[in-house]
Amino acid sequence: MAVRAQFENSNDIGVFSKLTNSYCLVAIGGSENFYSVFESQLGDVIPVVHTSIGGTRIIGRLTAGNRHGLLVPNTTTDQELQHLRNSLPDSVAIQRIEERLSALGNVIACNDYVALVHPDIDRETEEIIADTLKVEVFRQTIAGNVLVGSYCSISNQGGLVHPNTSIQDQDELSSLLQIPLVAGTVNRGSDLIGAGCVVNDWSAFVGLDTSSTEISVIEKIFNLQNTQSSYVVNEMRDQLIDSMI
Amino acid sequence: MSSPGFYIQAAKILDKLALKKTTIKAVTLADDVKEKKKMYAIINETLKYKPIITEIIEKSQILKNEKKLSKSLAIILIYDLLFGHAKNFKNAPVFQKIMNKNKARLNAELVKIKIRNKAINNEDLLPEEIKNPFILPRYVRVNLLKSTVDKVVNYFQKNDGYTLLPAVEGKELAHFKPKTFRKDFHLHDLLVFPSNTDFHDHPLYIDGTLILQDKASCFPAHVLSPPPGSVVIDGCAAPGNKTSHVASLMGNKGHIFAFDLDKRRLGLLKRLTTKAGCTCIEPINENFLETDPNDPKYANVEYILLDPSCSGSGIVSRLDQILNQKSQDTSNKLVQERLKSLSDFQLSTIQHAFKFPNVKRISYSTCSIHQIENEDVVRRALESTKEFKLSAHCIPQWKRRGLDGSVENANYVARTLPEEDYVIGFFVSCFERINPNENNNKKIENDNKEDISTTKDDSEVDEKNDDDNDNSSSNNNSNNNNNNLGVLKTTGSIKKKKNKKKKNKKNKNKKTIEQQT
Repeated sequence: MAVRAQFENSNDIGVFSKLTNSYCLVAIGGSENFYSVFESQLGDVIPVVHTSIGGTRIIGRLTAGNRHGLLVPNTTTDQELQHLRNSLPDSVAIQRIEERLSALGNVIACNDYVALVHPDIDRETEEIIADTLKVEVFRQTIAGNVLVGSYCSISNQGGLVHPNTSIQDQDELSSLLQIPLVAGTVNRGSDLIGAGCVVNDWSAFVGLDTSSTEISVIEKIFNLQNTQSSYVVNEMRDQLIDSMI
Repeated sequence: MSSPGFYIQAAKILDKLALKKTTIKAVTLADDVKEKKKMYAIINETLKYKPIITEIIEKSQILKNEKKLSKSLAIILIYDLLFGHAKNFKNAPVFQKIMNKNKARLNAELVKIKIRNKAINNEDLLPEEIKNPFILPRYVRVNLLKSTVDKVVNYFQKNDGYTLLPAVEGKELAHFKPKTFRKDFHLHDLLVFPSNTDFHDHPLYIDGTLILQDKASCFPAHVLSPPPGSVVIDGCAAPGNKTSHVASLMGNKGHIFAFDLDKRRLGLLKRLTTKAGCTCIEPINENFLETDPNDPKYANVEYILLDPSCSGSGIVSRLDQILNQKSQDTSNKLVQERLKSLSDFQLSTIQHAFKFPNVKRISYSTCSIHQIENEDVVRRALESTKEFKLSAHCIPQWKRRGLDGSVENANYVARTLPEEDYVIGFFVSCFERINPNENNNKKIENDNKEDISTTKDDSEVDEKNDDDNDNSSSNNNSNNNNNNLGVLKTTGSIKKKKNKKKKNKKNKNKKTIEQQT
């Protein structure tokens, strides 16, 4: 189920946090309220890590990652890198990228299999994304916006995209990602999906302003309604089938 | 798993093919290619996917990023990366680096194209005609020098368990069950098998009894049908299938001069005709156009078979089609120029053949579907001479005739349409010398036309009637009567039919002359 949260009076929680299937990063704030929301939902499953990136709190917009890895911009200090290395599971590869478009969270949107990236991203970056995150990389725009990370939010279950995305584009993206997509808003009409909500395969966090209608859309598309029981069954079945194949 | 040199050579071959001056086989199987089979395969497959790869190159802008890559080299490398087997260029470290750098992007573009075209597999991206190429049945000619049609038919029924089906033509050839075969509807020495029948290690093929030759290319020899003992020239002989067909129809009696300019291909002709057991063929490595018609050596030449180089636009089984796809419409200037020069060459061979003093009959054929190489050449040839006219004996049973209005008596020449006739696209015509006694050609020709329509299917006439025209005029009427009564159709001896027609025509000529006097 989706949980509402606020970071120091800001509803753009995606700016201050990064959520994946194997770890969660949250910015260091004045109070622990924000952290507590995440910790209460995820604490016993995945590590929830306080961090800053290059001394800033906008970690959600500066980093990109999934189950396999985390990409951080070149502004990240060695100390921060070391801290992340110590806090995240060993299976997660951490890679610092020299990229002109340094707000990686804005230019990369990814789940565990596919990444959509800004069309002008560097070729080497593209290669590093593919290697570190173990994904297929597609240069894309979403409803004409090059900042794919800002205007969509995807998990392995589904995705929410910019409200102006045409049906055709949705179809194309959906076949590219192999997940169902829906166009929608967060935070009572904001089109900055990536900033308004963070999701993984079994949980979602949205800005405090998000209406219940918006939440119901999010829960449906990310398949969060009766997570607890179905997640175990599905995940175990997938793994079993995977190992049998 | 290929060396850098292999890719570079493949790229050069692509460049050569782009100029449309050569064929896939000629370049990939050339002497300087080390791994011929592999090269042939990669070139074929690359060409199939070329439009898609070109799109990927444009979208990914790989040529802008990798200044060292030429376009054709990029095409080959991308083919091998995305569609081929070499997922990593292990043996070509030079390219490994470049391709790995661009792998993600190229792959992404391919996936996007697939999604746009709603394709699941890579094969789904190919256009229908490449995925399911139009397939012709397998035509097999029986070499009458080694065996007879009946013996071969028996062999297939007894030894190989084939079933003989009744002869059919046109559309009915489309569906052919395995292990069945037919005699050909039109030509007596031809058998038809399902398209995937493999003959390359069949004992009858190895000993030269069977010759794999499309039906259409069997037409010229039948059109010419020189009687045993005649002297024949094959103007552009290699690879020699038609030459050996003529020899087979002549029963190895007589003499055939086989000209070809290309030494290598003439060698092929020697090999093929020797295998077929032809002993009456004299291969000459010379340009037919430069032979002296008045040379006493050729004084007795009465028949000339001309099958000069052509655009090959009728050939459907060849993969070269992929290359020519866009050139099929003749509006392209380059293509037009090529067709023009080809047709000029074709015309010059015919005109040269006209110069031989004793030549009675000339067959002219191409495996092209373009009018400019076919009817137009015939028209131009006829305009340049007063001594020759089109002969009506050009496979009269064949229904598809020349294009209307393209040449006078367009129904005297035959052409084929692969989609409907199930043979390669082909054109065949036959010139014959106008008898100096004939004054009123038009009338005679009209008479001939009627004559053919009534006598077409008759085979009741003795061969010996052929030459004694003078005595046979009394027989002629009775024979004609027979025909009009509707003698049962027999698909047998075409040669007899020909003789009969020839005789009829001569008789008619005589008759008209008598009438005039």
